[in-house]
Amino acid sequence: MKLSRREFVRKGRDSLVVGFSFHSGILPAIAWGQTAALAVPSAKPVIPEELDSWLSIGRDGKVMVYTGRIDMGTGVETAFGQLISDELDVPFQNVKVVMGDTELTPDQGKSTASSNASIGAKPLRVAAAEARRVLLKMAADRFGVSVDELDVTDGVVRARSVPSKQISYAELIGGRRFRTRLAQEVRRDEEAARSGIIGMPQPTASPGLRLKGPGELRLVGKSIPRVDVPAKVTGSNPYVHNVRVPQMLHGRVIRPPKSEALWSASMRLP
Amino acid sequence: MKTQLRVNGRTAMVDVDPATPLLYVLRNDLRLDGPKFGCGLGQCGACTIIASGKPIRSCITPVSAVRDKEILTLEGLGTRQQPHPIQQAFINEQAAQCGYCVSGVILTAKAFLDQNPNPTDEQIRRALAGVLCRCGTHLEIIRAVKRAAEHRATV
Repeated sequence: MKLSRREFVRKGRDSLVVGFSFHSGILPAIAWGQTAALAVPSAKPVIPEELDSWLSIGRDGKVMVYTGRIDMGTGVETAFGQLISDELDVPFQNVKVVMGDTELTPDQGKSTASSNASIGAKPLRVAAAEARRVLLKMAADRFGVSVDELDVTDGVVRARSVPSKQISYAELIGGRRFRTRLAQEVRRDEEAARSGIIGMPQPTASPGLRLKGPGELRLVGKSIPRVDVPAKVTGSNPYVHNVRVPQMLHGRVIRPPKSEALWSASMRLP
Repeated sequence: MKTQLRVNGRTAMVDVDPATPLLYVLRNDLRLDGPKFGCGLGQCGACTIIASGKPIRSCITPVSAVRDKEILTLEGLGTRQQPHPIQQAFINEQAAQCGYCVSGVILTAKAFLDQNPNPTDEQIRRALAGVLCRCGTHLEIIRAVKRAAEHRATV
């Protein structure tokens, strides 16, 4: 079955359309123009308890991070990249943050109340720490050593005692799923309410998962050049205002000059 | 009506009502996303482009008024790979947050620096008073314009 966007909206008014794929005629929401390069976007989970919903490592070692929080100018795209780089021990330039694409990114409530760093970042950090733990375990098993004997630099795991024993994250997991569950918490406090996650399960560190302390962070807390500025000053930043879909029309609210006004058929729009 | 325009050094033909705001033609017909729709009333400056050297508000300028002008948008200045010195100055000073205003800010600054290559801070402030930034990037913007002026002096 093939439907245009417009037909879909029209049909949806009086019938239920079920069991469709978005890959034929209808474009998925491409909030930041970042997802077009992904081959099969819908194959990726978005439920909060799956590590794969939040983070993936490609065969080239590039790390994709998926967040429901969006950057409207505060610089969190850069900040999220910094914290993933630190928590996972990968180069900052290898981290790509995908934001606010409902087909790809888990629901994280609202990007409001200055909570992107304080609340929105937590699941990402937990996911990165969990991914690192899984990867170290894989490397330890492969080398026949304990995890305590391993170091990670720029996405490469090395056994301290045997320098020849080293393996990259890309070799360990590149292009494949982690298939790991993350512990969840449900918050009901005021801060959670303000940022729209009240009552919503969100990842938290399981008892055995240690997040890095301030002394172990290289980039978090440092002021580094923002990743979004070059595109913004050259007119190539993909603002939502630039999104064009087939047969797109624009609507606007026309407010009457007086209350209780009625629309009359003789009235014409300019 | 068929209208010929000169935009970013190229000739473009569009078929629009002569009263159509230039901004709509740039964004919708020519797919130039640099200029932005802000207030639609010529008051915020987000739509500012340069027409034959002068910064103008493209949201309230009918396309018929610029037929004989050389139009410059942010895209015509430089690219991500090869930014114009003013764009580079904005990158160096990190003078953008949401960046929605920055096209109008940069083009206003370009037209201003072309006329005033050696401005004081006060002159920069006055020149940019009509392009509004709601994020609060004002100090970085002033530093960026100053840096661009200094760069110009050294080349």
